[in-house]
Order: sequence, then C-alpha cells, then structure tokens
Amino acid sequence: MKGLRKLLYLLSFVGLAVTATLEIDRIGRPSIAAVLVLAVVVATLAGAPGLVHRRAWPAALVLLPLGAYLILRAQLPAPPHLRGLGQQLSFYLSQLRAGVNTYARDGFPLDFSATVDVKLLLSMVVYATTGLAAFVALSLRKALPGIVIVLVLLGFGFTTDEVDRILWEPLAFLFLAGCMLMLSRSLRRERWKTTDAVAGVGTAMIASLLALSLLGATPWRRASRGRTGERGT
Amino acid sequence: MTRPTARGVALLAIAGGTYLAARIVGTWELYLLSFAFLAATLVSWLLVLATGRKLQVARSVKPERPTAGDPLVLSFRVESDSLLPGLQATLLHAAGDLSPRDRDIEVESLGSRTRRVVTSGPWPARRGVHHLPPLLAEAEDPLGLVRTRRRFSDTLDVTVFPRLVQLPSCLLFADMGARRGGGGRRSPTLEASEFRGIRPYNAGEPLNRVDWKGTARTGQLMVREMDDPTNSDLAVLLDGHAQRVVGEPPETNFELAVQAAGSVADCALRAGHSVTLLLHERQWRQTRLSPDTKGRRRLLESLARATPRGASQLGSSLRTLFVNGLPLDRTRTLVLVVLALDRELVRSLIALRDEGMRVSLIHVAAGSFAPAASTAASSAALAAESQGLMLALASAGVLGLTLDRGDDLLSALSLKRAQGRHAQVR
Repeated sequence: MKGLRKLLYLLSFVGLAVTATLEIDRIGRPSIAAVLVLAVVVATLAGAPGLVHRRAWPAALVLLPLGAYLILRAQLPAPPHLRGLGQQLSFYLSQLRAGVNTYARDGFPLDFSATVDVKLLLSMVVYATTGLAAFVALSLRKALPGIVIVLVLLGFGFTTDEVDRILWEPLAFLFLAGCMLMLSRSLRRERWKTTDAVAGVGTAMIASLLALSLLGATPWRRASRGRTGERGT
Repeated sequence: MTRPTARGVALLAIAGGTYLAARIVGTWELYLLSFAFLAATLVSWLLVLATGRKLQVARSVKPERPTAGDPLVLSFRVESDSLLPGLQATLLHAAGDLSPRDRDIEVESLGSRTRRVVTSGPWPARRGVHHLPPLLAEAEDPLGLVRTRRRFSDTLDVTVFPRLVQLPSCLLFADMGARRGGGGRRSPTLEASEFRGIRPYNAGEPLNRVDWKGTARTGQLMVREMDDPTNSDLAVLLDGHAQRVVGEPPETNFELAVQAAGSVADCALRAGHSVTLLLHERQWRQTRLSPDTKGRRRLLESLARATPRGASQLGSSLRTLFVNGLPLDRTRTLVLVVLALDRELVRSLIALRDEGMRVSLIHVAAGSFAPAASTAASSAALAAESQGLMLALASAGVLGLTLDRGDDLLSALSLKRAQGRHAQVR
C-alpha cells in the first residue's frame, strides 16, 4: 500500500515540475519542451533514492551530478579531441557561459534554433532546480520546501513570459501541490484510505476556487503589466 | 485548541512571500497562488474546527480480567458525528504502560458520520495495576496544515493478575492437611470479631449465636459465624526488597516470587485454610484471605498490586512483625518467599522456629536472573553462600527450596511430584 502512495507522490512531483517547466519553455521559440521534460525526469530520478528507502538519500548526491553530465552530453556531445573529464567539463562550462551571455543580450522570445548554448543553459537551470526540489521533496520527504523550489521556477516563468497567460498552469500547480502535501502526510501514516485523497484534493480545489473567485472580484488581474520584450526581475 | 501546524505556519509564510512577489512583478498568477495558499489554510482550519468538536473516542481492553502473559488487546472506538469528511485522528500515548513501546495510534481518515474501531496489540500482559491516563486525541486535516487536540476525561485502570499454578498439594505445609469440605469454616472463638456469614444451626450449638433475621428470612434456625482476623492457618510472606530485584521486567526474580507465593496461598485457600498474605513494601501490607471465592479473588488483586518497594532488610523486620506485632500472634505456620538469603534473615527464621512456629522458605535465586554480563565467579560465590545458609536452615528444621529461572512451579512445589522426585533420586 505504501508503494502505491510513493508512486503517486512521485508522479505528483513530476507533474508539478513539468507544469513549471512548460511555463519556462514559453520564453523562447521553437519549443524545447522535450529537452526540458527529459531534464525534469532525469532530475527526479536522480533525486529520488530516499523515496525508495529512507536511508538511501546520500545516493542522490552522487546521482545528481551524473544526471547533469548526462543531460549535457545528450544535447551537445563533447568534441572528440577533448581528453579527460577536466577538459570536457571546461568545454561545457564555456558553453554555459556563452548561454548566459546570449540570454543577457537577446530579447524575448529567445531563439533556441540559432544557438545551442542558451538551450543548454535553460535545460541545466531546469535540471538543477528540479534536482534540488526532488532531493528535498522525495529523498528528504519534505514536501513543502520542494514545492517552494518548484514555485521559484514557475514564478520565473510567470515573470518573463510575454504571451497571454493561461489559467490551467497555476490551477494544475495548486492541484498537484495539494496532492503532494496530502500524499507526504500519508507516507508518514500507517493507515490510509481513498477518502483521505478525496478530502485532501477537495481541500486543495476548494482553496483554488476560493482564490480564483477572490481574484475575479478584485482589480489585480487588470493591474498585471504586459511585458512584451521586457526582462523580468 | 485548534491551531496551524508547523507546515500550516510555513504555508502562511509562503503565501505572504508569494503575495509580496506578486506585488513587485504584478502578475495575477502569483496573486492566485498566494490567495490559494492562504485559502487552503483557512479551509483546513474550518474543517478541523467543525469536525474536531464532534469527535468521540472510547477505549476498552480485552480480556477484561487479564492474567499475566495473556495476549492483551486495546480497542478504540473513534466516532465522528460531523457531516464533513477527512479528519485524521491520532491517539497519543493511548496504550499507556500496557504497551512495551509508547506508540501513538493512528486512525484511518474519518468520513461523514463514521465510526471506526482500531485495535492496538496484542502484547503479553504484564502483572500489575496499569493506570491509563485520559485519552488525548489529535485531529488533523488531510494536508496536515491545522491540528486540534481533544482530551477525553475517562481514565482506565487495567488490573493484570499474576498467573498462578494450581498445585494439587503443597510440599511446604503438607502436615496441615485439608480442612473438611475444602472451603470449610473454622469454629468461632471467644475473641471472634469478624463476621463471616450465616449457616444452618447444628444441634448443641449455643443459642446466643442464632441469627434471628436470617432465621426469619429462611424459616430455618440459622447461626452467625464469626472469626478472628488475626487467627489464620497460614501466613505467606513475600519479600519485596527493592534492591534485591534482578532481571529485566517481566523476567525478574520478583515476578517468579509473586507467582510462587500466589500459588502456595491459592493451594492453601483451596484446601480450606485461611491465609494471611504479607507483602514487604514500603510498609508491611497485610491481607486476610478467607478460604472461599472472595478470598481467592482478593489474593489475585493483592498480588497484582504487589510492587518491590521494600527499603528495609527482611530479617530485621521479621521478628518485630511476628513477636511484637499483634496481627499475627496466632498464626503458627509461615511460608516465606524471599529474593535473597542473608545471615540475619536465617537467624530470625531459626529464632521463630525455636519459638514453635512452623517455618518454610522458598528462595528465588537471583543468580539465574542476572544478566549474562555478570561474572560467573560472583554468581558461583553467591550460590555457594546461599547453599550454606539453606543447609543451616534445614538443620534447624526449616523446610526450604530454591527456585531458579524457568523452573516448573507445579513440579517444584507440589507434594506428590516432589515425593516422586525423591523416589527417583533414591
């Protein structure tokens, strides 16, 4: 029974991270969602050993750097003339530095097809953030700090996106965050029933609807600034 | 009191942080998230407040009159009269000291107007009177944001009786024989002051003992039976010197001593003898037991309450109790169950024997209960000293036997089996 709860908890986390990643993906053209989702999946798997067994959490500290290397190699194989790990790491660091420069220079939407460096940078940002969140939420089983880390990623997407906002993303985030909170409680309890899930998800949905109705009744939405080509803070 | 948990407080702080971020960057999504975090805490608070008040918990123990070693199960009936579902209840320290480990008991989430029964255990019951404090229930919402605590006023006392062995006869007071009719009554004495009951009149009995109310009620001439509370056939004394208890509960020499003393007293009661039970605690606790069902129940209750809290040495207080102390001046047969032997005790017993008292002794050897880490040399020295003291007692006419851990009380204490053993030895 606990295995099912762990699986649901893991899936909720993946869903939460993918929601945030899809928001990040919208800052450039063409979409690199497949690369970013791959980064999320690898980061989640690398950060999850503590979920399988509580004492296995140190394994995540080894797996996370390996996963990062895997993501880098998958997108940009190192040139054959480079010898040794040190030279390869220097190469990838120079690529990431170039990505930072491109990000700082170009306006939104970013052009992912022109250079690979900014794509590499974004995938590494997503990987690092999701990996940290996975380590905290899955290995250390602290759901709320994990949600907050993913919220930072999502918030970054909200502040830099120039396209029209869509409602489903924050609602999906709230729903999945509610699932994570509920399931993390269930992992600590011996007894758990389906009604727990219904009540937990119900609470999250009622809270979302309340927030939505409050938002609809206030001028905050209209006050949101359009930021075409504007760099987020 | 209903209040946010640490997680609830953290979520409120995150709501505040998200709201500030929304104010700075001005995106409605962040406002939505911040309001939703706040609303989640609010909804959870209302849920817990509404349902927590309608939570009822009751507990019971099975079996109701457990004996040491019985599998003991605690049942909790948790009931929610609220229409709102989702309350998750935890019963804190609910099993008290009945459970070997102090565990909280979790209850599956309570639906609308639901009753659930959860059990804890089974654990082997440990002899004693266990006071279970009032139940403390903690109820949380499914997200773990808000918690309330409720205290239920009922306490529960569970008495676990010692497991006694039904001896067909006892080696230690074989010469006393059995009274006529098993639970027979002794004749009243001039000093009699304790009412024991009424029975039909026998020809020749003095008429001043006729119970006229009983006669009128039954239509038959009835007489009152009186007895002297100080006049028992047998006194069983249980050593409870705190510093002489060895072993890890419930595997201690004191527990075996309780079992042995209880089995001997029970055998005497079943044979129709009245018994005085003396427990060596902070002060001497004395219980007068009549040879009937009531007396045997009192024996179990007294032994269930027995705790090794005696501070003084047994030998020094024995003579005071039997020579100067009035309560037992008519008892002529004494069975002692002791945790350790010393010279002073042996001197006291020999003195009692010289005064004409029939004295028997059961020595529960501490060595067999000592942890394995204790040195074999010290155990051997202790055993040799005890053996010497037992020989001294035997030469003075005090019947004695030694019990070790794991000994079968039935074969060690009963007369026929002991005779069988002697025959085999010969």
